[in-house]
Amino acid sequence: MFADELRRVYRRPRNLVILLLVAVVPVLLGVVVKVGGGPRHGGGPPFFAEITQNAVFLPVAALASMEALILPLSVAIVSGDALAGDAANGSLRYLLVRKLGRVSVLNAKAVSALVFTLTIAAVIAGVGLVLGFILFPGGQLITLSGQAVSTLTGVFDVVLAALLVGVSMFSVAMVGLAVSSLTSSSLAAASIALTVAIACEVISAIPQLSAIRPALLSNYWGSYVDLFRSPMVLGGVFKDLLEQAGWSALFYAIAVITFSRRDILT
Amino acid sequence: MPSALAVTGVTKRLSGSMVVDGVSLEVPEGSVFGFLGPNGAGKTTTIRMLLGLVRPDSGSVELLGARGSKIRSVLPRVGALIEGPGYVPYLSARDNLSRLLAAEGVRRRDRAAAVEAAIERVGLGSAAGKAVGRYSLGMRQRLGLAGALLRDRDLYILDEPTNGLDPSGMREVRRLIQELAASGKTVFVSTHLLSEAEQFCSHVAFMSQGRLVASGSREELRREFPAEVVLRVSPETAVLSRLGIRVVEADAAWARVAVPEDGLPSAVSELVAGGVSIYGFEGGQRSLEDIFVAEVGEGFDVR
Repeated sequence: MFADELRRVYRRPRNLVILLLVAVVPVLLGVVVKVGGGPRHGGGPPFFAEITQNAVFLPVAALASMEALILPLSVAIVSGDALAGDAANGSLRYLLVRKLGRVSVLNAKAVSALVFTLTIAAVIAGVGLVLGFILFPGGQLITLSGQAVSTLTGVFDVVLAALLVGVSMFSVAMVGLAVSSLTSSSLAAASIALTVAIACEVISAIPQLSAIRPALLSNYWGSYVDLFRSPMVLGGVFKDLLEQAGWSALFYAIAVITFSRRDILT
Repeated sequence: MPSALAVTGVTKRLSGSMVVDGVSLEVPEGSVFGFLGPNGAGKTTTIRMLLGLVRPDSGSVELLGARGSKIRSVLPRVGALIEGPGYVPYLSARDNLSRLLAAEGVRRRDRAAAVEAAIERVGLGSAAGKAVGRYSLGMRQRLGLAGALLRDRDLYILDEPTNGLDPSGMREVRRLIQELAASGKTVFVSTHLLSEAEQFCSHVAFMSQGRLVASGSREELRREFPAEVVLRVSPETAVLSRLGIRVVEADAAWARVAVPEDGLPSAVSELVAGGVSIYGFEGGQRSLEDIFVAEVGEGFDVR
């Protein structure tokens, strides 16, 4: 079932367009910076100023620029479609009158959504890395701590960063899945998941609400930056992983409970 | 005869309105059971409850001897078409059918033969690799049937199987149902087309506005609703109502009245004695539609 669900996700034209569009961002970013020159140091999102210095900063800058909106949006669209899409086209009822049962179907869809989430991050990092090496110098790079490390270490850091940014979206994916288990409208599910993600980001910008900030699912989204220090600072990374695990587990549980009880009328 | 399917006092309320109201029915093994009723009578909701898609508010369902949470364990023995086909539009017929087998726990390498056989059986061979979104209504319906026929089942639950099919497609479906029945399978088929049910059902049940209004084997219904003869007579309404004769329709020139076949001689002499002129006879066996009208008091149309 899992393989078949993956096939459904990766054949969905809408999802392929998402992969194509997220691939365009590092291309755009690389070309613009190459032609127009990067911002002065300290300007723009994290790593923008460093793009011209070394190839490996292009994928990181691309991930950084997309983490606030485009990534949660893409993930919300895919995960919101997980159950609602099949409910809308009518195939969900046929899957559920078979032996496998509701929770197994839900699991296949949950894992597929997470795999696709990682794919999105991988596409951005992959395209960014390849283009980075075409447009910008390779060789040793200077980490945020000011030390020089080898290119290979830099590439390794990019892979880790992409993985971390992907995992950071898991909570959004599970919110999408939970809402998707309640509706036959993918659009509604995607919108609500995106709204939750953005609400978290907005709340974290309000100083008076700083007390609840650590509980927000977006609170440690910036932690990948610490991977580019030497040695790496992993406190924020672990907090992010914990945050993602907690929220994902909660919304997965909600999805299981609502989906196993719901009347399937479409 | 043991029953393949038994429903006892099942009730379901959906968004405030009673969709299924205390329905009880029993489908004997090996029967072709017509589940009849106009659109909106509650047939599909009942079928969804049979298959565990919708939870009844009260009452119980027994499917192939299993109840409650055990129903899932007998689902592999049930082929179903539920309220039309439902497929992922951007996948091919083959991939869609393969996905259904995946939900049955069939390994990928064991799926191809079953998929191809089902595709052949419903005549979709040439279009099987095409994305289902580009199928016509009739082709989708065929694919829906292919899904129900994907494996050898003991019970087939087919909701409106001839929807969207052309006359030759309808004939094929009728033949298919007869084949299934001939091989000893139980077929539970819902339809709003009574003429269709006349042709292949051994048992029928009528639904109207969420309630079961009549059910039984065709034999039982024939006994319960004996044949009637319809007479074309002059419209002496006062005499007709004094004699207690049922008027089917009447206008200024004619009246059509129905009398039981075995009471025909006495009815005729009473009518003649009352001064009613008789112009013609039609008649014999009562159709399913007549039975529905007699039971519900109105025509078989959408309300």
